[in-house]
Amino acid sequence: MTLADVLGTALWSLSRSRTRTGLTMLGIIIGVAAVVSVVSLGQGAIANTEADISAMGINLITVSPGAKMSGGFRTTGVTTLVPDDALAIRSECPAVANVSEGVKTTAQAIYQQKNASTTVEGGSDEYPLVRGWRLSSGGFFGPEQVRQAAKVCVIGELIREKLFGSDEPIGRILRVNRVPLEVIGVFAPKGQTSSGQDQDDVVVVPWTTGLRRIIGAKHLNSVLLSARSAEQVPKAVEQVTSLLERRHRIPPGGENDFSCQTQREVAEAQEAATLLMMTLVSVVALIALFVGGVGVMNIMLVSVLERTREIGIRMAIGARSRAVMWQFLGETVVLTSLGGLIGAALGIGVAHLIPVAIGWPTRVTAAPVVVSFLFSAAVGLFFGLYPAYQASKMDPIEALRYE
Amino acid sequence: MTNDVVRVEELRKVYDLGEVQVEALCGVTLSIRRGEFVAVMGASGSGKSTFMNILGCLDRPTSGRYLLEAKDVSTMARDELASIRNTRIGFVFQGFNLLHRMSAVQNVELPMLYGDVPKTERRKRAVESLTAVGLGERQGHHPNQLSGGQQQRVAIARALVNRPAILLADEPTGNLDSRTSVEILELFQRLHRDGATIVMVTHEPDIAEYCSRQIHFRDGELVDDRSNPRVRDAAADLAAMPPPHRRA
Repeated sequence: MTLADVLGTALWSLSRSRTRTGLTMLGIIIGVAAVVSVVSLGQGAIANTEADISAMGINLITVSPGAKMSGGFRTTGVTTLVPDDALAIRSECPAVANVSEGVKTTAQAIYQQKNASTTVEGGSDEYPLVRGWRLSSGGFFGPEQVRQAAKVCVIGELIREKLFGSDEPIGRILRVNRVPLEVIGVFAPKGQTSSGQDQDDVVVVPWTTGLRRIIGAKHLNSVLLSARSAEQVPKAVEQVTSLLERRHRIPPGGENDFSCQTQREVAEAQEAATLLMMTLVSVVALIALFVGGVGVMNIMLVSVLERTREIGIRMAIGARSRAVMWQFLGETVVLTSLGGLIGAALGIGVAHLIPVAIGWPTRVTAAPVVVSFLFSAAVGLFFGLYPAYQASKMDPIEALRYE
Repeated sequence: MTNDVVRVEELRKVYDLGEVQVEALCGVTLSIRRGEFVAVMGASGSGKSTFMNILGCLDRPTSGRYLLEAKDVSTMARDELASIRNTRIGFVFQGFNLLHRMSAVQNVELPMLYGDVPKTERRKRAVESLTAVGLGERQGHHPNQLSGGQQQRVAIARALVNRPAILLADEPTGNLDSRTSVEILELFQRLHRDGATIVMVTHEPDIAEYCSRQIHFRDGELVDDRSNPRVRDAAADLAAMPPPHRRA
């Protein structure tokens, strides 16, 4: 028997009972589709993270209070970072280009009868430079307004839409924690970050306004700064670190009460988390595929028993054990491979549908498609072996007598 | 070198059922020459089925020798026997034993699938074989679209397609009405005239009358072996029969 004969016989057998074939394949189809779509989702998230960093500028460095801990967790509520630290960085770190004092809280923004819960961020006049954000209308506040803690704000696109709709927002007054703020600018829309935070859902005020008028605190949540160039990032981190160590009187070898995170590190942590998630879900999907394989074996065992007479006839007219073995093995492998093929197509379809349906980015790559297809074929080979062996060792006389 | 297609010597088959041992064949010696048409008779339990299974290389004797075309097949391995069944033996069964989801021509092609005959030649030979049994124009029909007699003809075409040395038929007319039975016997007689060697199991004496030689089994032994001086002519019987009322 040639390979073409084996495949032909397999397809013939499978087409005899389409419902059973379809149901048996379902486990494989779902498993493969799950692997392909989950991996595409993960790849999409990683690609998006990469895009985020380039959008936010790889020069961005975030100085946060509290020591950095493993796994990206950080203690919060630490009050060690103060406005004087930012001033010192400005004057003493030559590798740093722009600095923005960072203040952050969530609050209700109210305009007339409308209100929206949003993130209120404080920054310096260099905030747009540090973040690389552009305005779609109006202007940003200057150093004078920062010094005076002026009651002005620049809003994100989402806030503009929620509170003002089709009205012109520039010059209007909105209230945050009872503080009236004049809208002087609107940021150009930026969309979500890969962690799901909407960057357009923001109200930015001078950090002085944020601290004194809105929050009522004396310490900063962070200091955002940008290095002069991508190459200068390590040098900037070094300068800032040694400056703050000195200012905070950290003994040599002692644990810092602040941490510097570059955008690259943020992205890497995020990618690692995505990768872990993707791997876990893929493992679950592969287990599903394996369970599907057990189902296939079950059906094939039933099928072998049902077709005892057919096996007897084939043996009587000269089929060798190996030919019978190949027949059933071929059938199982064709079944699971076909399931793998359909599953891969379905997975690719789902991967293309997800961005449209729920807005998550996906990226289809060849590797998961090929790997899960080969895996499904291997599942067929593995789980088909035992039923095929059962069929091949039948006694032709008894098989012929089987009713 | 003899003209024997089959030569069995002291053929013995013992079934071990644990506590008891059943001797199904106790020392059968027999030759079948090329071109003979032999009826194998005997009650159930007489050993004729065991004899046919060994003759058909589906089973191996416990002891004794079986030479098929002067080749000792009694000690062959499983796969060698499969190959012998494929090329040297044609089977016809009482229940036809066709594969139901396959068309007539696909059923006839089946033995060639296992005999490594090229695909293009398979179809050609299958059609030839079907034509030889009078079913040339029904090759695309499935078994359930054919009458019992036609199904048995497909089975005979399948048995002959690899040009075997011997045709073994196990109660080939057992599931057929009397007219169709004679039709099948007419076909066997025609094949026999063309030189085929046929061994047919039957328990009906009037069916055995169409054969040139009759052998009887009883209790695992060959008790009677004689040539039939007056072989009935199936073609003549068929002509004398009233025309069929119904043909499926």
